Amino acid sequence: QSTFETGFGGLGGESDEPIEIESDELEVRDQEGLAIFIGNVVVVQGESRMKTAQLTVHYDTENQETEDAAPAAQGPGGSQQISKLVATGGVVVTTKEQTATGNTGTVDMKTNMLELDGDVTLTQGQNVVNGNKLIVNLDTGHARVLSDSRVRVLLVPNSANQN
Amino acid sequence: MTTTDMRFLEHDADAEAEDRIRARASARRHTRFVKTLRVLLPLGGMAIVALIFGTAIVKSFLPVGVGTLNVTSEGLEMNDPNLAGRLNDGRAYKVSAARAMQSFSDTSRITLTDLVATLKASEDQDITVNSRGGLFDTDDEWLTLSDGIVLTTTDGYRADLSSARLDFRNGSMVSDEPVAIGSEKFDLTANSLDVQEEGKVVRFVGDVHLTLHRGPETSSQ
Repeated sequence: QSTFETGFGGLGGESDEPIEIESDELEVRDQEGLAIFIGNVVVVQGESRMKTAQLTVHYDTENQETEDAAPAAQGPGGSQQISKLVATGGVVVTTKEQTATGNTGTVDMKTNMLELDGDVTLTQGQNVVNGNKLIVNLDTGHARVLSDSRVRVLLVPNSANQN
Repeated sequence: MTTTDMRFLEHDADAEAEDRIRARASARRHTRFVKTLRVLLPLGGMAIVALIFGTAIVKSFLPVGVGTLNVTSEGLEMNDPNLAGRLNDGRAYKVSAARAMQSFSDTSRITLTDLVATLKASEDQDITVNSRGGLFDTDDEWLTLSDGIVLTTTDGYRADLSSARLDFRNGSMVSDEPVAIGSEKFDLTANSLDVQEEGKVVRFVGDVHLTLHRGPETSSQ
């Protein structure tokens, strides 16, 4: 088991640019708290882009929040919390400087971690890192590529400008 | 350690204070794209879509009040008919129209002009459906709406369809023409809409395009 640590940055800080999501279909299953984008899913914001075959958004609806029942029943627009995003059927995340690919991807909103699984590659310029798993801490932008066997790192000297 | 909540939605003072501290503290660059994944929250508002279409299906039409009634060659014409009632789950609804015509040739068919239907979705949420054209079949219990439909909710969601067919028996609403839904938080367009099981499943098919607006944190939905 070996890991490769890097930053998954280069995307800039705060942004209030809108997020665009396109797909062939969208299915909302409210009682199950699911919004499923199906077919050629592209999520774009600024220079960042994610492409996948299917993106499932899991959100908690009021009735699922059992612990402290919300005092007044909130209106339909009540605050639903998104708990998880799952991308399947191949995932490509491209930013201004880096590209990450994997078979599946999940974003856990509770722990703020992004994970790509299954022949993962992380590319910056000519530098390519391969592994089985990429884990990014959404808060810090800190990324780790893990591999069962050996992480293969191809660093082409003085190709990427060190930012 | 508090779990990382949906700070985007939290709007009480200490959450904002906590945000400012966190923002200053995290020196390292955040990834704008991945960071914004946390702000996919308006998507949570998709539930409203399900609700809009779910509750917009008026369960049963019971003619109650009929304005002036006159008999024409084609059929019985009612001016500003209106009816009100309660769905079987108790929510109140009101339907009115500028004109309704019940044809002699097929008395189960009522043609409606400038139909307005309002439905109480919850204490603070009403849904209003305006449609220029409508054809209601009392036997088979379906209603087609045509020539432009606008559906609005009290908290600012709006859906524009050109036509729709509501089937009250199986609780479905289908539109095979472009649909647009908008709100302060998001805009959604698609080529067609298919609502099944009274809104449990809402499918948008064809060129789905969702834009999540960002900008200043607005109050919760």
